[in-house]
Amino acid sequence: MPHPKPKPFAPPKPEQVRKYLRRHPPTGAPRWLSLMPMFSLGLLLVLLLMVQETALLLVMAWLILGGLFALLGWRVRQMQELEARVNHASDLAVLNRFPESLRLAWRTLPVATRSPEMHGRLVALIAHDLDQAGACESAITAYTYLLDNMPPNHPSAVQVKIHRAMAQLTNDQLTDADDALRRLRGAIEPYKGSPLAALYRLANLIQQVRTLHFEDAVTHAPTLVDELRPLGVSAGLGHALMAWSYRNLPGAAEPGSPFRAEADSWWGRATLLLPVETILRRFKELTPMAETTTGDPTQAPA
Amino acid sequence: MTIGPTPTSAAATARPPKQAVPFTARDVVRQLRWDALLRNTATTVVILLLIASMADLLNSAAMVVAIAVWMGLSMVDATVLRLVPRIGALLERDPVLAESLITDALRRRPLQPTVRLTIYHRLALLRHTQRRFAETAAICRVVLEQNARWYRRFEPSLLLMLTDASLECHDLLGAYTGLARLHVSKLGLVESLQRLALQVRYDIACGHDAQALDGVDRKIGLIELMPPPTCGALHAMLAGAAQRTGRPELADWFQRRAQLLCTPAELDTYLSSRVHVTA
Repeated sequence: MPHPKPKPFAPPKPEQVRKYLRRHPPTGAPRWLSLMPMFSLGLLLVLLLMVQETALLLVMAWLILGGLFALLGWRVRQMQELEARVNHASDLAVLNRFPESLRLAWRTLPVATRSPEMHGRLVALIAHDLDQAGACESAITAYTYLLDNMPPNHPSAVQVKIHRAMAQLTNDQLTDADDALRRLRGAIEPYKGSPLAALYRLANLIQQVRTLHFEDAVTHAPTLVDELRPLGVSAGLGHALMAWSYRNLPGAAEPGSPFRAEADSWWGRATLLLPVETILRRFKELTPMAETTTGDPTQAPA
Repeated sequence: MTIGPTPTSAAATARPPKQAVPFTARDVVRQLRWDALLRNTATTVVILLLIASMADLLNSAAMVVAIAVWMGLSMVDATVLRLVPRIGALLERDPVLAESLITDALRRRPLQPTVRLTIYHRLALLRHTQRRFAETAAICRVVLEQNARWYRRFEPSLLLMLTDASLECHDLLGAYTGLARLHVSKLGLVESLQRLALQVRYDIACGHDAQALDGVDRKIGLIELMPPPTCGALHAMLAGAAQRTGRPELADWFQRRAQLLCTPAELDTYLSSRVHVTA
């Protein structure tokens, strides 16, 4: 019998994400489970004081202790299994296998409600996977849930806010993104030179391109390579946006224009770090750039 | 080899750090033996009390004493284990306080071997963060020699630190030993990437440039998944290797990518050095 054709990947819709996250909130371990060791020891002491028959007492004591150890062992094994699943989902995301990572994180979430830390990691992973899979609205829903449920001043809050702003920019929620980025300006100051500051710089560049402020974008071109360096090869996205900004300056279409040469140079840098397909998957509006300019090869020469 | 405290942060002036227990390989073994002796004695006492209460030689108070002794022993371990996450969080933020907590933890006894070796693992992490590589390698070696079932979980971390520290100390034999064991260990994705970085560094340090460039396409795909500083450093090192093996096009490609991934100062260091890339 032929195998049924697997369904193509379809990311969950924002409403689905909202309902699912609301249905599986972090609850922490049940109170009875936390109190179980103390309760068992208390029971043991009561038995010691009340039961006179030593043999019976010993049997009961060992049964209680055995039960307690079995319970603790079961809890530890459960937590280890959960951690292994979360790590696996995280590894899949590192390998850019976002649909698989999302599927695993989604299915693991109901089991993780008893561990708020694992639950937080999974929601962050779901948001990231949705973002990378192009489901920006769903990603924004997940990022918002994460921020609403984070303790105040959580170290990851700034990073999540930048990612949400970037998803908002991709989703054409320009006012929300502008507001978020403006609020983050002060918070980002202490992180100068870090990957977080580089991410913020990239978000600003995306905003300038989305709002067609190409002249503003090229003003800071000389420092862009240094500012985006902490992002590693992902800095190629910023270089591609800079190329697009130069290409859209007035007069760039004229033959021999210095802007055209700058655009080609930035595009070369971008494609040296990232394949054209990766850049276009993220920024479809750059397709004319890819069609007219041959960048440097991302593939190593033989 | 002796490891002393290293006041490296401003906190050192505000809070006098506790003197670290001097570290020698022999001390670790001696501490573990003392722990075993004390624990075995206490366990014998507990068993004797239980037998006595069962045989009606003593009343049920004997059992209460037995349970109290058993709980007392567990309390020492529990107190030290509670410190472990705190030490982990302080390693980079406040190494002086982390050192002080480690010293406190190591002074307690009797500890389960797993607990004591966990603290030594944290000490190795601290020394690695402080770039005291000779001491890092020494601690990792001693802990790995204990042949405890415990370290299966920490073995990859210890081997990665041992290999990195050995490379930093130009101890190629130590690095080889670490890598050989890493190749037969079960590793996660992040650890596999770290092993690849160490393998490339080792090959280049040994002068095996052609081997470092072997399967370069697959290696580049994995190197791109590494944290940006390691990714940039390996590009620069591979550029040097390609140059030495007479592949100027590949060298140029690596170097142009490295220029985007590393600062000019970093690039100079990596291009001129054969080993100094901390994974």
